Amino acid sequence: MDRHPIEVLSPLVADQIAAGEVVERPSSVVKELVENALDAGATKIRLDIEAGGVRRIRVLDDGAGLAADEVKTAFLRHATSKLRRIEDLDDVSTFGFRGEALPSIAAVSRISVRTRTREDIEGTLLVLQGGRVVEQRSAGCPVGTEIEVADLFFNTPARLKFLKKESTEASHCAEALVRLAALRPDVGFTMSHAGRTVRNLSRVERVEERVMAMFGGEHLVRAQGEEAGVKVLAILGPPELSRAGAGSLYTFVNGRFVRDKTLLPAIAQAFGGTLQRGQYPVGLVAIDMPPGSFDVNVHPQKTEVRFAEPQAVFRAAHRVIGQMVASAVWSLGSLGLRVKEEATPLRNEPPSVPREPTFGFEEHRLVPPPPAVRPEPVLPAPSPRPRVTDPPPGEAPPQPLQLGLEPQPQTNHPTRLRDLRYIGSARSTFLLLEADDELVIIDQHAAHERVTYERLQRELTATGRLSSQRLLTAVNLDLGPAEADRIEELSEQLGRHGLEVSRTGPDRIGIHAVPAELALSSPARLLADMVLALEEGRKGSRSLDEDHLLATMACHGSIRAGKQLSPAEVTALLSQMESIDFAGHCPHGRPVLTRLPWRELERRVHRG
Amino acid sequence: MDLTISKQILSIALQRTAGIADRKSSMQILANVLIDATMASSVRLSATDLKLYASGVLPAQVIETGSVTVAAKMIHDVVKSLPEGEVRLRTDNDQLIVSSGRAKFKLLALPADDFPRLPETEGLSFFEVETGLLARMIDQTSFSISTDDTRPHLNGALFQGDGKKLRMVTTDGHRLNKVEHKVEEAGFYNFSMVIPQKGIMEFKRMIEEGSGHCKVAAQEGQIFVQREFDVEKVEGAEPLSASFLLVSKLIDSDFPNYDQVIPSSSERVVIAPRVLFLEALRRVSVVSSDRTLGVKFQLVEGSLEVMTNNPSVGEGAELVDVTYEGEKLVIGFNARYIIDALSTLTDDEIKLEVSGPLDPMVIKDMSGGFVGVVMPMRI
Ligand SMILES: Nc1ncnc2c1ncn2[C@@H]1O[C@H](COP(=O)(O)OP(=O)(O)OP(=O)(O)O)[C@@H](O)[C@H]1O
Ligand SMILES: [Mg+2]
Repeated sequence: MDRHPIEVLSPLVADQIAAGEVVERPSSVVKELVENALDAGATKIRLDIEAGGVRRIRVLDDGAGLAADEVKTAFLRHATSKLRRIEDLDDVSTFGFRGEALPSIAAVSRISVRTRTREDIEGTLLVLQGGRVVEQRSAGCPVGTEIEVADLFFNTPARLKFLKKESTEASHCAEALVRLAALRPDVGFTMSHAGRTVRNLSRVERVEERVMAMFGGEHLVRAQGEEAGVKVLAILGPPELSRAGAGSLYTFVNGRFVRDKTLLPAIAQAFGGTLQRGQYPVGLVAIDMPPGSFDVNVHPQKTEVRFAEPQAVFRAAHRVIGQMVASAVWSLGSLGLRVKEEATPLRNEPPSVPREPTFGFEEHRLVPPPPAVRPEPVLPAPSPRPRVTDPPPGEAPPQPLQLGLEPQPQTNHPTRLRDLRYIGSARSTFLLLEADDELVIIDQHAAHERVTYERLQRELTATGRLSSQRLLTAVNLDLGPAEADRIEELSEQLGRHGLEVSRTGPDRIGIHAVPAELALSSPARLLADMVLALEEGRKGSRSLDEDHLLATMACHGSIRAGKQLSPAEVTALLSQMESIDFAGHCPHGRPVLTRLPWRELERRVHRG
Repeated sequence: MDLTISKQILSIALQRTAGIADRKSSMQILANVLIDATMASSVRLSATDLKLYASGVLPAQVIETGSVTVAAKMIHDVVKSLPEGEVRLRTDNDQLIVSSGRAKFKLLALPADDFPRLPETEGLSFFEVETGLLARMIDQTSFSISTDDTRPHLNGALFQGDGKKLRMVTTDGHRLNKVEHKVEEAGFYNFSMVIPQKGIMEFKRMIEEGSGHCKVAAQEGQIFVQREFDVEKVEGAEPLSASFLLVSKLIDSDFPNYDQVIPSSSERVVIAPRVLFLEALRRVSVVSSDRTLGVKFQLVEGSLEVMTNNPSVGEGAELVDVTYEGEKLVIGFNARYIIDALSTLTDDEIKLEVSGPLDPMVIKDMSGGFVGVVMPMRI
């Protein structure tokens, strides 16, 4: 075959190739420009795009601006004001550090920059085309920087072909903006597409308010904590509001949006099986850790980091969020009762202050800082708690790129399950427990499932394998060859979960051992369900395989609704519930318990 | 129908039959007992859920023959509440009048014609078994009947006779328990049947009290067990006896070939003191997971150590002195499976036969009638 001699690429071609890594689509430009604006200390950032950002992307900021003699330098490869020595990389507190964004963008578009620093009376206008300066002159403009990127990929038509339709590209741009805006309530962001305002995130004081503005919802619970130097802030919605995929879950490491192989599974698993298959909660999880404990320079778009100790990150996130899930009750949801909105947000009132009776589930609550030891499993207390919008006393507003992760004061009074009196069951499905000020109603199947699920998960985490009970004789299933192939493929994963299978014939699968926890289930049914769970999990995200599988298994090993439990069985179940981090949901995402305040009952019978 | 009967006898009979009545069935009449007085000095009480059928023939003074059905639970509760003495049962249109002394109850009745036809015992050839023996066989096996409804052939106990031996075998897929007894009686014939779990339990209830023999027969997918009871002993008079019959549908599929899963030889043989071993298992499993009761055995020369390690609770261990000369072996089991077997045995010592950590372990009693096979657990 004909081969060209080896040649050094011309700088322009090299830039275009490099640009391909940084600038994939209009949203990449948005990300780089907005990051630069934030790095420049802007307090207001305006983004206007046209035709999905392909025709025009304009970012206007009120940051520090560039001095006349710096403007051209900014477009040179590896020109940065943010990093001097390689060691600085460990400590980088700005989004930018490579000095690659502007030259990369410039290489594939027509750019004009207008910028002025506070010190200068006059600003500078610089125009580049395909990376070459075509004009530079003084120009009048306000302090700050306005960068306009027009005709993106005009000189690399192949790139253009890969772009999706305008609306899709526009929403990618919006997404890039939101990812940067999430942790910066101190900066106001607006965005327009084709002249229409599509995002308007005004300056607010706290991250929660920003996150609420992003999701437009109130059903968010906040938790924060620190473990082994890893600070975790989570502001998340309930399992019921979870969405397929992690698209509405924003994860950050030291202020940087990242998609991480450690973090996402930690969050999903902390929700345990309360999430439906393949789903992630909506909201935000931000990790803050000492510089040097991770590497940001591993991905051209900086959307990945490499942790020095991923397990530590996993553990911290899992624990903080796990505790939040365990004690948070977001909404009454599945009972179908209308939840009453309170007119004024509750302040930190003492619990004795009378208030309108509600079903007690709609309140947002602050989760107390995780104690050093495993906490007593608790039921969420019905006492009034501050809404997440209330700034807790003494919390400083978040610093740029530095999360305010101070522990919060404990404000709730947990109720222990064992302090409640079991008064009977209804329809052989609901266990009724009497508390001082409410009736607690537990769905026995959901509760049992939850308990089994936790146990399975704990065993799996502790030993990496579920214990299994061998069968006297293999249970053989005659299947089609394709089906047998599928199961054979999954055999290792099934084995780890206690179900040992092997091919015992061309069309035949033999089951040799079953998970010890589920020893009483039918091996054939278990196999069918576990395979289904694994395959459904596959379609979603890999990290959820496990949870979904365990949830399926837990369902198998759990008492059904409709089975009358003896008082001894009820006691056993309640004490098992206490021995785990009790969560308000069964692994399939249904709530395990609900509550009916006596006041509500009294109101209904027009008493008191 | 009009009859009188001793309250005590009627109460015992209801206790043995009324429980079979099926109160949840959509066929209302299945919740009733059939009271059938066709002879001058006896009355028959019957109940069924269509799978099981129980009846008792009791001494009574029948004034007027006839039959009727009433709610089993109701008549049982009424009779229990009556003072000792004679009870009169009399039909009056669609009611059964139960009276004793000054007490009188009118219970709503349904016609006997609607009651399911009861299995015919005429022409059956029964063989006799000592009740104590049969009860023990049930005790030593019934705990491992499978409840997995996808494997109906395991949902019962295999009951066999081969002319010399009576045999009962159960398995839940993880363990198998087999008990065999030589039978002296000549003319014992061959049979093999699978009795469903519920039937086995009712049989046991029927035979566990007292001593003596019961009669067993099988025909057309049903097993019949019949037993006479002394229901009333009056000084100087012949004891009054009642005859009870229990019929159960059999499971209509083949029990697996149990011989195949009993290892014919093992690499290691252990003789262990039954009670000490059993107590060690009970103690140590207190710490193991409630659901799986996983314990490990560490077998070295002269001793068997029972150990458990439960990450969320702690650990426990106990050493049992045993007769064993062989290589070290560590193997895991569900303690429940071994406890179940050992606690139904009576010998002072038991024999454990085991090969490797993935192979089945065999539990035998010294007299040789019992063989238990337990599959290990990978912990
Ligand atoms: N909006 C802005 N306001 C002020 N200075 C800016 C602005 N945008 C860019 N600069 C200056 O231009 C330099 C180059 O920007 P560029 O984005 O190319 O590199 P970087 O931000 O340093 O690193 P990275 O390639 O990682 O983004 C920056 O270091 C900064 O000094
Ligand atoms: Mg930059």
